[in-house]
Amino acid sequence: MIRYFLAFILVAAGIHAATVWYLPRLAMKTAMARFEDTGMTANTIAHVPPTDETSRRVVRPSPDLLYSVCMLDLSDGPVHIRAAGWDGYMSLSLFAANTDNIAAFNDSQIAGDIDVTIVQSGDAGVALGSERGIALIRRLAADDAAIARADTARREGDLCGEADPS
Amino acid sequence: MIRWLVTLSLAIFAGLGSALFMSGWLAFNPPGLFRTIEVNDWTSDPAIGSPAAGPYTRAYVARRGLLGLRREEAVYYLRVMDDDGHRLRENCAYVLEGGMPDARWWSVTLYAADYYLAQNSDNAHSIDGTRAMAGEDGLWRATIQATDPGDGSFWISSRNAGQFDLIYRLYNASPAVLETPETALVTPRIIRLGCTGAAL
Repeated sequence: MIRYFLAFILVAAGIHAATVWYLPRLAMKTAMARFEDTGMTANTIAHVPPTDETSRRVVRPSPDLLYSVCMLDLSDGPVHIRAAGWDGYMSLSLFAANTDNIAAFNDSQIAGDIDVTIVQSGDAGVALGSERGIALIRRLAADDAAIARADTARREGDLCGEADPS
Repeated sequence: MIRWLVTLSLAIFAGLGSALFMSGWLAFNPPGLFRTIEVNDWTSDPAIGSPAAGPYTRAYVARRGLLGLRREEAVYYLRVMDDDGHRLRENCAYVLEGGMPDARWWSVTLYAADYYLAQNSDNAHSIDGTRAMAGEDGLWRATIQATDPGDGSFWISSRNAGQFDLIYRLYNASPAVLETPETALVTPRIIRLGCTGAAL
């Protein structure tokens, strides 16, 4: 009987640990799959429509923020992303494949455009720690006029693409 | 052989089920599973978004707050009860009132039980620091209910929300709010005005 008990404990503990480890990665893969379903591709900036009750790709979106997204794929090298300057709260944040918020830069730290080079590892840019991830730009735009201005700013200035090798 | 199959099946079920439950991924999980910080019934976890987060916090955030920012950029507080300890629900009316917190920007947003905005087209899901107007007593107020109160008060719609919760976001909060929220964080009150139908 003791061998059955030990086997139960070992297998249950292993399955438990593996599941807890995998759930964040599953959530990120699901979010990226939902983005891809809307036509988004890796290393390309995508401007998410203003948040409303139909926004159901990522849980708990803020209706007061305007989001732009770049799904990161660093398998072919570093990626450069630019968040164009905005006259209100704005941030560029990087999320690794396990959901960790590796870095966040905002307009009170960097005036004007926020430019970041993202690498998988090393010190040639911000190290994501994984091959895939998500870059998210948030702009505070709580009314229709601000949303219109923020939308113009992001469409004119936001960028995401493979970094210049030079 | 039968004993081994039963043992391994039970072990897989126990391991998977306990992991999903402890990570807050099951439908019957209680809201606000983690209460590392609790300030006047608003709860949070300072490890949200952090690479230093434990595996359960990381899994919990993945389900209930994916792409949440680390605390240096934003902190998130969850509220599921009114000031009398009753679950927030669509068929009740509430006054949400508070002072201006020590943060660059803040908001309070209503979410339905599925963690998304309530399925209504009222365009009244939140109040934030750019729209809240402080009264003579220094407090801002909003009415939370399913229909527009029509009395000039700021309205947050709970229509089609069922049992809902509120997320209090504070962006670029002051060091005092981050380090000693128990004393430095200004938390909104939620005063129930009344309910229709089955109240509690």
